[in-house]
Amino acid sequence: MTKEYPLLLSPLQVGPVTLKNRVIFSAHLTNLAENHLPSARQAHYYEERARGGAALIITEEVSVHPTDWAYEKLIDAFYSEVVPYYKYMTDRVHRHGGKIFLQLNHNGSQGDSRLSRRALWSASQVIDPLFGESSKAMDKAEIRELIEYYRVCAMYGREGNFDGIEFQASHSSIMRQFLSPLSNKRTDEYGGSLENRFRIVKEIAAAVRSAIGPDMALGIRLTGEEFAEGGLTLEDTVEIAKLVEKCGYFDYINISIGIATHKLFLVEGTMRIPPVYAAYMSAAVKRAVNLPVVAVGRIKDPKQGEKLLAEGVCDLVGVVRGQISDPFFVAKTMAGEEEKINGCLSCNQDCIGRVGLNKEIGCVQNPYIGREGEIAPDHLPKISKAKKVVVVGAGPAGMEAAIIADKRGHKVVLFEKSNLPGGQIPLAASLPYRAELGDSIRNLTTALEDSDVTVKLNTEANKETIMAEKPDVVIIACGSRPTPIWMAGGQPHVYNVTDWLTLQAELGENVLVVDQIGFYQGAAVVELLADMGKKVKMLSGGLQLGQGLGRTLDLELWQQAMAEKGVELIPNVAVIGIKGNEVQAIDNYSGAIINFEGIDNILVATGATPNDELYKELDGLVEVHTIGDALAPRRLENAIHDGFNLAITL
Amino acid sequence: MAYCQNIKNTLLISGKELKNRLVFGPHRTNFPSKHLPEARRIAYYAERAKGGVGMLIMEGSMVIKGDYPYDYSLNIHEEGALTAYSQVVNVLEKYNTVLVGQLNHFGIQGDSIISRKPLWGASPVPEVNSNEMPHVMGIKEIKELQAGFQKGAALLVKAGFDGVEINVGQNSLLRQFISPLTNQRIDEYGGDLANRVKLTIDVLQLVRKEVGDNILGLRLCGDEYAPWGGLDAEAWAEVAKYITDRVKIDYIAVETGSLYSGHLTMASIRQPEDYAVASAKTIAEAVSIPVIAGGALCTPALVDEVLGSNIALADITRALIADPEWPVKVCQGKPENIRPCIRCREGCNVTANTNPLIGCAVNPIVGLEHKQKRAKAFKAKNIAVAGGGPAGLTAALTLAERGHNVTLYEQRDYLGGNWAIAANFPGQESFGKIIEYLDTRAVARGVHIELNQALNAAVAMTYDAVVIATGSTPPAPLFNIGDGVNIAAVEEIVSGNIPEGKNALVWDELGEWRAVDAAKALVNKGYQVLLANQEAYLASLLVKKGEFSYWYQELSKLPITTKTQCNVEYAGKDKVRLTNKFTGQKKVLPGVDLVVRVTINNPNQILYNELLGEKPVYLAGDAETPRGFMWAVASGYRVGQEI
Repeated sequence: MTKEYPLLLSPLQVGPVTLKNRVIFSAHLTNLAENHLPSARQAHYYEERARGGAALIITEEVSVHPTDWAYEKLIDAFYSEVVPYYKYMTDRVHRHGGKIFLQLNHNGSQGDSRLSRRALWSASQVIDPLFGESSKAMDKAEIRELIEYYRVCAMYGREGNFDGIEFQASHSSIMRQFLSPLSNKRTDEYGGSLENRFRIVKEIAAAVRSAIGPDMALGIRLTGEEFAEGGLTLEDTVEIAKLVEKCGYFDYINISIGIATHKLFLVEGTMRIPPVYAAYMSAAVKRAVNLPVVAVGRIKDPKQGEKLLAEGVCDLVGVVRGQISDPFFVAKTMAGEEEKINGCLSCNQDCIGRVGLNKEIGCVQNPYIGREGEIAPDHLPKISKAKKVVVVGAGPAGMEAAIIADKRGHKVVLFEKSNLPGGQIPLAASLPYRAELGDSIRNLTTALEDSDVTVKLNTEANKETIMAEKPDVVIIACGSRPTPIWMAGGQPHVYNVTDWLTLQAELGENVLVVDQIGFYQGAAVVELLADMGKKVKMLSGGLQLGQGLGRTLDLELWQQAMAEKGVELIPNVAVIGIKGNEVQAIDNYSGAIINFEGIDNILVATGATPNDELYKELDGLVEVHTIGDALAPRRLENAIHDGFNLAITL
Repeated sequence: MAYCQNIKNTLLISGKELKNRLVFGPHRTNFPSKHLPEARRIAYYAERAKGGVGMLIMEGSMVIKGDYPYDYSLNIHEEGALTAYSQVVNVLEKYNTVLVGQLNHFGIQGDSIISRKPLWGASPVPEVNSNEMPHVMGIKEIKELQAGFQKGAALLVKAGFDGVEINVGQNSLLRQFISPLTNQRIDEYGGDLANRVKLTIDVLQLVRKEVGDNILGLRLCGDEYAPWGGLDAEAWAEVAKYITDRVKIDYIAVETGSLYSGHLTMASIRQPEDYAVASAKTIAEAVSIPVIAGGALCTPALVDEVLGSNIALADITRALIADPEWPVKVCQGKPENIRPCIRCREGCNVTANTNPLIGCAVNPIVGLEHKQKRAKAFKAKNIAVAGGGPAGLTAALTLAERGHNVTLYEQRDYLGGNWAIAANFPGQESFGKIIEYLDTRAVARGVHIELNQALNAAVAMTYDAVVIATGSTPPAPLFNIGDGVNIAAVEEIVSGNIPEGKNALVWDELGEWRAVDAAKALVNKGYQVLLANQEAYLASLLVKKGEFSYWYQELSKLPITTKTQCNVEYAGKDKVRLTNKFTGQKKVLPGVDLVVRVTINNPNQILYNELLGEKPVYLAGDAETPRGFMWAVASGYRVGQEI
């Protein structure tokens, strides 16, 4: 075992619970629940992280009261039916030496009553800026009812063999709404002074402690700072933390960042936001209290974790996306194989990107997610006969397919016509704030080097060279090529963005970017042009520019950057003609014609064309499949998952 | 002629008799299930069949694995499908309603996020909202698709359905093959009409083999509303004729809209009730089989009039969601008893990512048909209801139905509360119908109504329980307002109660229709209008509801200035100062005489606070918290069930 991480790998006592190391898998939405109950798949998802060495799992929030049905797959923790499902889940974690806490929550005003068909409860009648719905101010009978529901839910947690309970009082919770003057306008004993605003937390904690007894841990997750005018500041949070410690019911404090309502992008920072961006908050809290403190926020590798502990910023590090991407984050650290960690990209495309759309959690780089009970890297489906597999194209799809086919025992040859693997990813990673996308290729390259795959770089495959390998199966992963811009009619100053990035052609001063995709192809190129000092106009048919970035939480930051960098964003229009320096567009709603003059260059972010010619040549001669862009030009997650899903069936 | 005789006429289709000319059409419901019909969904359909509708077409079933357009789509290829689909037939059989199953593939209008498989498309054309590039179907996939339709049809027939409908309507891969907007193929499936329709014809011929003498229906798009390259009603009529000349089809159902015009598929009150009838008539002229017209039909007299034309059947889906007994009530000559659909789309539009269950603003039990209603009250109580808006009226009616003695107090001289004011808005007159209905039903149930009388605490204390449905009041603007500037609520403006002036600021925090309505009323009165909000775009709530395009079209006709992503610092007669939400940069605009803040109201809880702890009190509607009409009715119903 490595000696490089004396603190990260050392045990810690949290109240009555001993954690074997300092890495926790903190609470996050998974949408894996079924029928309002924890599912077996959710248990297996947590089990895999415990098996991979995480000391502590904190579950996804569970709802303590029927007035809270904030999202469809929220677990109803107030019915005793949950207990057997809890037992299954906790047992799965305990068998690997991990601990597991249950996070109790009520989302308060941060929800949509369309699901429950009941009014949302909160400290006061407020309108949540994100959901736009008005809440009902709780009367005292309702406060008493809420406290009792917390108590009962904690009792079920105890019966379900959890090692502890965590209260969410952070980004989306009724406790925060009581704590924050932004949402608590009460004039009774639950509003006004900080002590008053803290009262409900204290009363719930007392009730919960009475239900769970002294041998379970109790923690609270606070928001470090609300970043909203009139909201909680870090100084307030430090004061709240002192009250948490003083009341004597709690064993630890977990600090999260931002709130769903304001600065949602800080809750799960993307690669736009520096790693370990929230450490200063945990540090401030830790200075003020003696309770163990958790830090979270884009802690990507074990070295960052060790450093935080060494600097006294925190006692525990929350690694969520890092362990979504690689459940064996801790195990690999312990074995001194950190370079083999399938490191998170912080791209948010498949984790929060899916969960935000009410879909099951996923990961661009980890296709095992959601099926941990069936398959794992060390538990892939057995093969009946080793086959010779030829993969054409070493982009993410081809690399993933080759790695998995090899792992299962097939003999794999991977052809790549260029001198580097990665397909289009290196190009995408060259754009502003997109560098970490390139880590996906580093991760795949590491895995490839670890395999027995024969990699033939600088080798363009054709029918003859492929058939000469006498393959049982051929996988076409040749990617895609930029689609020509039809409306340009061959005018040389008009480029598909991908072509322009490859050619690095000189541009004039005034550049118009036409976005027909709404994702980073347009948005990141525009930012690059602005950074180059160009005068940029960007237009699209959508209601707002770069709208696909909403899914990854980058949209607001990007829009802010564009405002600061002076890019002109023009929504709701479609280009209908390009004639030299003049561009003609039409307003989608009024039908008005808009003319742009003096445009030196036009870049168009648009679709790609699959390179599937080899498939057509080989179809009928040999078993042949297409994956990734060669099947349909889509995104990185589609490429990797296509490769994986095919390779596990061969 | 007898009342609504056209509706009451029977019709024989392929040997099956429809007892009237009414159809409950296919629509998404989001009943949570593992992709098969189950008890809740069947109870929902049974309620409509029981209400007397002539033909019921079930929500479309997907025929191919990998086509998961939404979480709770029905999949006919799922294991156990035969048993599940047979169960629908078993339950509905006794109601003598002709039952049709629909088969579909969403193509590029699907969503690959669920299946993680590429979408299938005719050509490399992405859907306009997702911008996702599909996999262009090769011959293998085309054959697979045909086989999927055929197998699905065989299963429906085996399960005992009276017929099978093939979807070539708004959300369908087959339409995407027929429309030049989405089909750019150069093989035998692309190019001229014969080639583009080939796939549909092949599918229909295979399906006919399985269907035999049962009904084979075809759902067609009536107009793509995309004049630059899409097909209009004339073109679809040609398609209809081409198909019916080659395959024996028993009926054609016409719906409208395409990728670019979702708001015209199940249009809101902003479109006329019969907006989709004209295109159905054009198609009916071209063919000699029964044609179903749909859209937003819901008023008996209009439906009867439409059925007097070349239209054989009327799809009144939303009217039947609002009142399953619509057919029975019309046939008995009692249309005044119908709970009217107000075409608001609040409950029946279930396309949001959150997967809301189908509901209805005027009918709070929609989606909950499988649950037993609360029985009569154990002991009749004397109950006062404060407030005669939708919440108060619904609570009063429900309580009276359960046997309580109810008195309703309304301080105004009319019923309906803020909803009655909304019904004054141009084009929203039909909103008033539901108040009329609730009023009539409540009186019939013995509710005693006191107008011009606000309930006070002293009187309230004489009752056993009090329902507080006292509504809500518009709040004042939050920013600094200069001297002499008028402040008005949006209700006043739209009702025509507009002060004199030249320049107005409409500050929109809602993203609903109201901002445009207010702007329109102000422009008509000669105002220069500045419409501003904090968000990235206007009408954000309508965007969530998929209904914004029409709003933007209406907005684009108004000569007004708009500003997004800003905060108002000051609005005075001398100037308006806005700040950019991101950069904080200030922008100074000409001053205004009038400020209209469009936002959510404040609840009226004075009486509630007076009675709290003194008397059993129940909050309902906006007084609980302002959540709009649908929740006012829902909470009124809830309280009515509780006491």
